[in-house]
Amino acid sequence: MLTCRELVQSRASDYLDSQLNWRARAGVRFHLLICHHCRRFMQQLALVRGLLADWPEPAPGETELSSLAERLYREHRHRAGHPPE
Amino acid sequence: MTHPKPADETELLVRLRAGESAAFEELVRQYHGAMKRAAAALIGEAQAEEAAQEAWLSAIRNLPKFEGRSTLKTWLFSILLNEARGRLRKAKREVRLEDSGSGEEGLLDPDRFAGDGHWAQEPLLWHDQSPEALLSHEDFLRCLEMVLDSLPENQRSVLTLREYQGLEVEQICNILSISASNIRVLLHRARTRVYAMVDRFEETGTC
Repeated sequence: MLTCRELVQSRASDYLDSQLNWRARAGVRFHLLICHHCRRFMQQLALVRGLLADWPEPAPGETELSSLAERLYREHRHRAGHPPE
Repeated sequence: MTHPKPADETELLVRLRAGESAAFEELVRQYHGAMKRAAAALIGEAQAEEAAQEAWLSAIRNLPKFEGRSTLKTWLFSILLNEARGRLRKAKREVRLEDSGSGEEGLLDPDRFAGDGHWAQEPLLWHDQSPEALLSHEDFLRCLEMVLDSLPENQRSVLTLREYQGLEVEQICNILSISASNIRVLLHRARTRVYAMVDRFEETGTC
């Protein structure tokens, strides 16, 4: 039977990402049914998985966006052989 | 394998190639925030802005060559990743993407488990029960940046592309040219390192 160590060290991420085959998945599910500690670990790992997704993006300022867009537009025109406006 | 692209992306590409200035504005508004955050995760805040700008210029130069085999987002992030790898190489941090780490590196401390494979001690109960709760602590944001910075580059790239950019394992395989099984190992090790940091933060308030 799957031990806590095996679940934590080698199955946990694959379980969260649905990357296990049905047999391995059933083994993890059964273990989680009977093991309170691993249930807690899984909930915490799922939280960790959500951290980067929820990390707020920096909101670039209007000036930054406009000047970058302008720079890219000029670069494109230059590459396409158009004279600068 | 190709991925379905939203219709407005195809239209945006046509307008970009035609040199319509408003299209460049749209492109930047849609992706620049995400590019900067990804750059920060890959190489640190200090170089993020410059790396993102360089990646943008490179993308525009290569726009005629973009064949639409991936989504625009995947393509942009593959360019950003190349830019980040170049900078890391210059900083003498060698890139070995096939090396997924060896032995116990990136796994949870073996002392957490007893000889029979069960937990030696109950895992700590965390006060913060959601990503939002954790991210609301200013100290925690610094800890998150530090732990990302401390990851081996291969783990950091996979973690960023998967968790932050939300790319599928298959898309990451294409960008990094490494196998799905290697990506799964790298991802688990990176998550485990972040987990250990969060656990320490919950216990001590520091990292």
